[in-house]
Amino acid sequence: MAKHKDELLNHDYDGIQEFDNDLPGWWKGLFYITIVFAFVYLTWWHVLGIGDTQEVKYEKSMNPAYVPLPEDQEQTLVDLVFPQFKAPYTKPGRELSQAEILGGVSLMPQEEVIEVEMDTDVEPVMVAAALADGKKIYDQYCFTCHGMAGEGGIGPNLTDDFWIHGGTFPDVVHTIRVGVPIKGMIAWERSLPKEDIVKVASYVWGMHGTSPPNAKAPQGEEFARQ
Amino acid sequence: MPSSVDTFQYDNRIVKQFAIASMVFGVVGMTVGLLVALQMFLPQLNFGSPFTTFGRIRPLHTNAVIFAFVGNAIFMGVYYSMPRLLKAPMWSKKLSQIHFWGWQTIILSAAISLPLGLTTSKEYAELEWPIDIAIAVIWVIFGINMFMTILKRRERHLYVAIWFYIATVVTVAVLHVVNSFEIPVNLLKSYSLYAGVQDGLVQWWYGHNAVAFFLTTPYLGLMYYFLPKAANRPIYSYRLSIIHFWALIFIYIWAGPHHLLYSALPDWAQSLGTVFSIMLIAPSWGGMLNGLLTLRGAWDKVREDPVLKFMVVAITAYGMATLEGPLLSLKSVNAITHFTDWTIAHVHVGALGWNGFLTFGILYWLIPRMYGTKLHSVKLANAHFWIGTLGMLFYVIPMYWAGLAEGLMWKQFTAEGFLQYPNFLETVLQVVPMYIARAIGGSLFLTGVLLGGYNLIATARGGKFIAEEEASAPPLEAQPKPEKGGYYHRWIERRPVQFLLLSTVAILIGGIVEMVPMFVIKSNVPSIANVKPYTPLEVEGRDIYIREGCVSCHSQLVRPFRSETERYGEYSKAGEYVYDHPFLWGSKRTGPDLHRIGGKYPDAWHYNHMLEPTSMSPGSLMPPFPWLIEDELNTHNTAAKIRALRKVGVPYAKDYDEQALEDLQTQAAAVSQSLADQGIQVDSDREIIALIAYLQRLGTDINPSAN
Ligand code: HEC
Ligand code: HEC
Repeated sequence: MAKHKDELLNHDYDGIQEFDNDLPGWWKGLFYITIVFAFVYLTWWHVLGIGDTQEVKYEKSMNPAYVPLPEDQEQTLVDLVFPQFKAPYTKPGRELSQAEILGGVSLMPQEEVIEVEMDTDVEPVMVAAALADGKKIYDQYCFTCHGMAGEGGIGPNLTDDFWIHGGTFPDVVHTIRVGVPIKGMIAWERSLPKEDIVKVASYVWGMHGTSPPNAKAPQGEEFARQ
Repeated sequence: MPSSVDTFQYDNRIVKQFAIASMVFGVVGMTVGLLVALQMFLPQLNFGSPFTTFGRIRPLHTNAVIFAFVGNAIFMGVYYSMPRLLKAPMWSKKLSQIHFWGWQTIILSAAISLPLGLTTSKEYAELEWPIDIAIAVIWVIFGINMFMTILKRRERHLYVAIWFYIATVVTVAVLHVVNSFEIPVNLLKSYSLYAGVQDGLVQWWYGHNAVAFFLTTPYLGLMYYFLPKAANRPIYSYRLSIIHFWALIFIYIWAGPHHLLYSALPDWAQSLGTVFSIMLIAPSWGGMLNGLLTLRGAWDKVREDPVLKFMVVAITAYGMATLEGPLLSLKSVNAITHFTDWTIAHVHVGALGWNGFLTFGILYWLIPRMYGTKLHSVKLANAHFWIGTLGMLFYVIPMYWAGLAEGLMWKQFTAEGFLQYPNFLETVLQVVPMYIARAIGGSLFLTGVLLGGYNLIATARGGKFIAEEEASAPPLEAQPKPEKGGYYHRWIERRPVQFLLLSTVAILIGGIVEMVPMFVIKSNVPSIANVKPYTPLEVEGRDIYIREGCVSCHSQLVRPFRSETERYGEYSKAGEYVYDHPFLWGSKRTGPDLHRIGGKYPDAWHYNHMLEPTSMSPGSLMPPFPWLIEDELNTHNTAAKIRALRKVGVPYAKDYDEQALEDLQTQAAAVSQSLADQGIQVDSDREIIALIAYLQRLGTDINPSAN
């Protein structure tokens, strides 16, 4: 702590006087430390280019095996001042490649595996506990578009014999999983785990033939269950 | 020697006018704030009317509190302290009056235009261009009056409070003018000259420094006058004043990009925002220290005097907010707190604590003096102090809690790798109890203000207003020449013009270094070939989005985090915003991000959702917008809008404005047809059609499968 000498300066403003005390030592120390921090920080990321840019950080979080391309790694102040020496990333007007734009899509390696097991071999799980779970999911996420009883609304009727995207159980699972984004059916695999998709699909499967009131007119092709 | 002594009068009338305006608008602004706080958990309080809907009322609250309550309080304090510090009355009483009435007219036009939905959507710069011009004119008038008073002073050296006033006047003028460049469509509508990332950078350079140079530097000036006056103690350290003043104004201006961390702003600019924010800690604390240490030896007075109590809490709140701000500028902290209610808590520590409490402290000191009497009731002032402090705690603690909870919930994954809260609404409903607590805190604070208002009125009633205060001092020429030696800084303290120039240079550097490269080096915004200008119908839809203030609850900026790309889709790229005049990134997510909303839901979903959000999202807190379905879309300005957008650089073909209306109608018919297919009959000339077209377009340019 600085000594308070409390020497008054020989001026006053509307009666206000001022001491000429030293700046507290810790205050000066704090100021210097923050300035050093600033230099280290900028050097680390933008002069030496050691720290990851936010894009690289993101790629790594999506795929721990990611190795940044040299041009993604450095975007330093040096490059900014001399863009002509710059790696492709900041070349004026360079267009992002489709792969860059779509980022994470290529990072779902299990895709194939799920495809097989979910969409061709899967069977409805018609046990009470699973159906109760399925109903919970339906009542939370699906009813706004398909109606409380599956009678349809924004989305199609799920209780009749007509299906736009196929009426086998694997078809239903598939539609729920990947959705129909252009038509507004959400791809639920982004937010629901596999089991939940099967559960809600089973619940939907069980709605068949319930003929709820206010049912929406049939859409798609007729599919008769054996 | 000083045989000639001038006598002159200080004008207290203008001080009184600003004091009344500040109090009145303070009550109004905080009441509107309370309404907005209630709307956040009781959507029925939007009253189903466009004029009282959250998106339009929120900017009314922020503008009223910042520019009407705090603004008028600044002028009150400046018009009182400056003449006394310079031993000269204000240069022109007429200009003072023009300033006062001009400012109140601006406030009134804001109070009318914002509920009407006339807004640029840029935060704290929402007012449309004619009002912007009026603000600039009135501000310059204030500046002239101030500077002429300085030139006519009878005190050779400028006191630190005056330094802060000078920096304030210059910087606010620069910020306001640069951020307000816009091309008018008509008298009531304009488009920002800047687009996307650049608009974002300019806006937050402005927005951040509005906090710095409207809510901070003038208030530091006020502190430097009213605190030593009230405590009757000398300022702790003159040296500290010098260093923290220059460091503060120089460094502050750089920190704007900390509002855009993890955005599409280039990394280098974000880093500058971070490091300059960290370097701001000490200069800000310099102000706090000089305030608190001035009270050394006067703490017994603090216990008794409500004026000092208010000031101590204000200065402490300032210290807290200015430590917290830099910490929020660290990217890893910001990753959690940004877009959450944490930010709301942070600003209210500053607004309620620093600005609010310092204002009340000053008023309790000033009003009795201007009325030649004692404060009506010290007890009541103490009650105000305690209720206000309690209200502040009830406000900010729940909001910190809510902010942290939101930040963590948005990022929480389950063990299987799915978002724990895939339905955004769930995370909103979790914090509703905090919203309720916040409203209670706000009501307490407002109750305190009303008590204070009563106390001040009663004080005025009990005294007699001293409209003119006699004073005397020898003119500068008759005063002894300044002694040689001493502090180098004394030199500039007696040269106001040089002082003005030097502070202008200090505040220009940061802005220039950050903004110029963003505009001239193209690589800072890598272009994307697929990104096309909005269609005329989408432009109209976007303007509805702006008018209704959707941006106050919805961001349009998916940050590069797995938790966000899982929830919303691919993260946002700078090149996607090149036609966004103005940018609509937002600063708060009360609802989910909308940058990738295009194609997520069918048109009919949006129709139902806008008519009644709870029909699609049970329990939703989003206000309904039924008028969008009843009201016809105004297409009189469509062609003019296309022309204005062309002027700011959107590459529509040369005579496209003539074609625009036809294209608009064709697209509208298609949307109306798609709704009809989904069982909803609505004419193609309704506003909802344009809004749906815009929402369905959002964020789809880079995704070829969506179209
Ligand atoms: C935002 C509205 C919306 C929500 C929410 C929604 N869907 Fe859909 N759904 C649709 C639309 C629209 C279609 C029709 C797509 C088409 O026309 O190709 C559809 C189609 C379907 C189909 C295929 C019907 C057919 O005829 O082939 C199934 C099965 C389905 N949804 C199940 C669900 C389930 C289960 C949920 C909840 C997890 C759900 N949907 C939630 C809108 C929605
Ligand atoms: C008071 C804050 C608030 C305002 C203002 C507001 N919203 Fe919302 N919005 C929400 C909340 C909360 C949700 C999440 C619950 C829901 O779906 O309704 C939401 C959801 C949405 C969604 C669905 C997003 C999704 O991915 O499910 C859309 C679209 C939307 N809002 C559009 C708008 C538009 C357009 C406006 C302006 C006309 C607007 N909002 C104004 C709070 C708000």
